[in-house]
Amino acid sequence: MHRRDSHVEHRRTVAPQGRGTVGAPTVERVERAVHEVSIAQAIVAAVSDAVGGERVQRVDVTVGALSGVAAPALEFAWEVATANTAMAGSVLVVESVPTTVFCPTCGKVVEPPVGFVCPGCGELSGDVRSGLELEVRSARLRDPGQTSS
Amino acid sequence: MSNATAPRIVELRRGVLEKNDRRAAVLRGRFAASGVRVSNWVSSPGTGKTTLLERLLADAVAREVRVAVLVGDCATDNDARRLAATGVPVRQIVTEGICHLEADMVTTHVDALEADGALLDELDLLVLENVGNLVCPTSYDLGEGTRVALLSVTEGEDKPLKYPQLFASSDVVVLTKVDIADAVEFDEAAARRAVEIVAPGRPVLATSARTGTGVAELLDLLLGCVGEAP
Repeated sequence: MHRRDSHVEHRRTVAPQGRGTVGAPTVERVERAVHEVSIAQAIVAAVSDAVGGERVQRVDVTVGALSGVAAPALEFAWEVATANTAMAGSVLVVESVPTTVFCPTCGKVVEPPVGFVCPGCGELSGDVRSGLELEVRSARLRDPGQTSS
Repeated sequence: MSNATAPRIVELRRGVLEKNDRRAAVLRGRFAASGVRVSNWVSSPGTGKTTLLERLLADAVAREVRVAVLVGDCATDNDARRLAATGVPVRQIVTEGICHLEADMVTTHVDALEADGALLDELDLLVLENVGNLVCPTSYDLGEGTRVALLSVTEGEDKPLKYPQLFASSDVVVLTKVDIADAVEFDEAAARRAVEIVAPGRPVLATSARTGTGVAELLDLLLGCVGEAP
């Protein structure tokens, strides 16, 4: 697997590679939604294991651009996946991580605009330093006295 | 009384697919211990995975390579019946709507293969034909040594740029249906450039199930470089 450098990660509120959500559904779009539902269910399972039945207010996840998961579709799938769980009504906060590679020619970590092409010199590099992340970082528990979101 | 200034936060810091990754690691260990080469074939529906695999299995049987197949589809066992006609052990994994294979499905069906007498120890090659889908199978490690990304000449040369995750995670890229490349004006050099951009240095193999082009080379490759740690 490729090595990762946490210091090259950037916080973003919008997924850099999110696909369009307007227009008529296509087979690929439906496939995507199904995929993100199964990813959302995996997140629910991981959090459930960790919180032991406590109600959850917010879940933070990290999604790399190369992880195969589209942040907008994942946020959409969250409501479906959390229904009737301790996470019902919770917010999913996605930190998107762009793809970065180490360019040996420029001697530094760069963020390719397309594929693995260095924006500085145009050379290709498969030395991936970030973008593969797909992690649950933390869960914020609901206050026990709180009855609604 | 609640204390709004001290939210209770549980730190997880774990991979979303950690459970799948753990099961895949167990499978990888089993495959390595048995010396069986394992490949995971991923492409969109209609690329010709099953047709190419039929041809590859016939070659494998002729060369006395001991091979078995697990084939995933959302519904039907049509593919398994086609592949079983070659005489090799085949099991269909019906995912019932799930858009990819997961490591626990592979574990269940590898166990069933062994129960039917196709022991991993006695196999040279195990092929996992994934559900036709360019997105979802990318995230799920199946314990394979070689991930094969397939692209047919009818799909467009820029597909690797549109679905970089799959091609970047592959170990080899296979072009299919190259016998009709001219008829559909497929630009092989452009496709190879697109692969190079998202997966620098990845080998690209041109194949045709109809003419047999590249099939022996693909079999050699699957037998030679699989079963290793990723």
